[in-house]
Amino acid sequence: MVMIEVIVPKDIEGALAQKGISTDMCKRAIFEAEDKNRKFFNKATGENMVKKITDNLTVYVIYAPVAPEKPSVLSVKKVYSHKMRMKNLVYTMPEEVKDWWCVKDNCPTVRGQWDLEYMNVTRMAPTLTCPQCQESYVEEDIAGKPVAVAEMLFEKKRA
Amino acid sequence: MSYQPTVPLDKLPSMFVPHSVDSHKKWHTSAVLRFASPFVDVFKDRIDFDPIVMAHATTLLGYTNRDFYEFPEIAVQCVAYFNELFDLLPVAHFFYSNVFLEKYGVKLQTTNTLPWIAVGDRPIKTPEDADRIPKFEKEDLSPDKCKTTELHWRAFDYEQKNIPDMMLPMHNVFCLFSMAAELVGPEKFITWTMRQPKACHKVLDSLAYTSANGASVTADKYGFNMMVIGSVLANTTVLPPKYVKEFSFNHQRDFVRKALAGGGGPQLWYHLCGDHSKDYPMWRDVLTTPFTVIHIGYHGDNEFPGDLLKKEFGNRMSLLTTIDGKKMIEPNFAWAYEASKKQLLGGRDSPRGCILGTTCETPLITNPGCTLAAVKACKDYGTYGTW
Repeated sequence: MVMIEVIVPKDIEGALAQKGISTDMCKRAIFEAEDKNRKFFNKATGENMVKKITDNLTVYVIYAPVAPEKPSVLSVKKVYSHKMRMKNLVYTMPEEVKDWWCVKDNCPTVRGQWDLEYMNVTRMAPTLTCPQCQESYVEEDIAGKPVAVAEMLFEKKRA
Repeated sequence: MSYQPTVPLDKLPSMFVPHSVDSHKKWHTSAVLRFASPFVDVFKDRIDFDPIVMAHATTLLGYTNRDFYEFPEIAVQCVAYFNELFDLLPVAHFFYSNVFLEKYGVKLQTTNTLPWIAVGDRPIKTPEDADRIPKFEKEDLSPDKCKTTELHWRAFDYEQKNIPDMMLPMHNVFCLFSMAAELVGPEKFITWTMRQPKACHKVLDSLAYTSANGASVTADKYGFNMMVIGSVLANTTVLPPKYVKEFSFNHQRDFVRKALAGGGGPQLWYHLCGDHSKDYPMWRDVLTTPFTVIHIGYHGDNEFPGDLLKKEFGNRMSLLTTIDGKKMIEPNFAWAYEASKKQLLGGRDSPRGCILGTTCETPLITNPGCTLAAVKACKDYGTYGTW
């Protein structure tokens, strides 16, 4: 069994605290994903992406080995999250192949469209989706803008 | 001598009732709640009517067509007033077709009755010209280097300063296929889809790339923008569905993903002008954000039915069901009322909300009686809680 070490850089640690995400949660997400081989891998950048779902948050962690000769020492590159809950996969677009690969099924992901739900409102957003196991992740720019704006608007209008 | 605005721009704000008056604030508060309804599932008042008003707003209010297109300050001020006049949307928009074409060397001009149209020689005459077509980066699209950005930012800056409650930064992609056709010449470009498809894709790739950077430049300055993505010339009358997919849908998809990554959106408005009776099923699979509206003009010669729009798209996005814009010039107000009623009954209970609109921009000489008739139909058949 290979022991994994996860490093969370100080600047990311600070940003996580602001979002209410603990470094422990990030580390757990990586340990679990590595253990189950449940992650997406970007062949071009060498980065991995995993997600962890909590009661009210879906957290994504992007990480990579600190150096090629140290594959078990992993450094967190980015962490982001969304509050909308992933409800169901509506459809996939097999022709829209993405850079990220599903490690479990060893195949490239494609664009999916998921219904996301928050405060009893359901709306669609695009995802990276494995066409075989249907594991799906919301990309950072989608979580950071369209989904974040939707969350903010639903909170405001439905308050 | 260049065209001078009907009212000097420094005098423009003083010609309109300020938005600080109580009557405006009361109207605007109510209009905002109504406008948000389809997007947040909190249904207030009634379904909105969006006639996609452009230069009709300026001409109805005593200004001109050229005022709208050449002086976007006048455009947004008049659209804001027009919207309050007819109890329509709480936002003022400015956009036009043929965006960014001047960067590619197309000469554009307005007339007393037309928007910015391409005139003279087209820059791409041969497939080899398509090989050399540039792609413009963000720094190429700053307002000092790009007329399209300059005009739009003048509108948004005027809104920010004078009517901030109705400000709506927008990025109008228009129709990538139509703009490519303007670069080559419409008949030749349509022929090229069969004989020179690679050249067509090069032109479309460039336009999608440039437009995505344009969306990003505007988002950098204003924080967000509503992106209008059209398939106008690429419709059932002109192209078989397979070609609509290859030359319009696929390039739009690439544009949207790049523009979102660059900070554009989050609202997407798919504007499918013309007849889409054979290609509409493919548009179910457009890239959507939580704020996506689908707007299809015609099914054959008739308005795209509201009930069909609801059946095909209602579980995926918000709808903009339509009445025939061409007929909005006629003094037949009963037609406008009945057509609106029919479309409202078909689409009003769509799961992700419904708006009533026109098949495309309301014409310059739209009859205001038709606008009123559509609003009356919204009040009679679009009031939430009455069906």
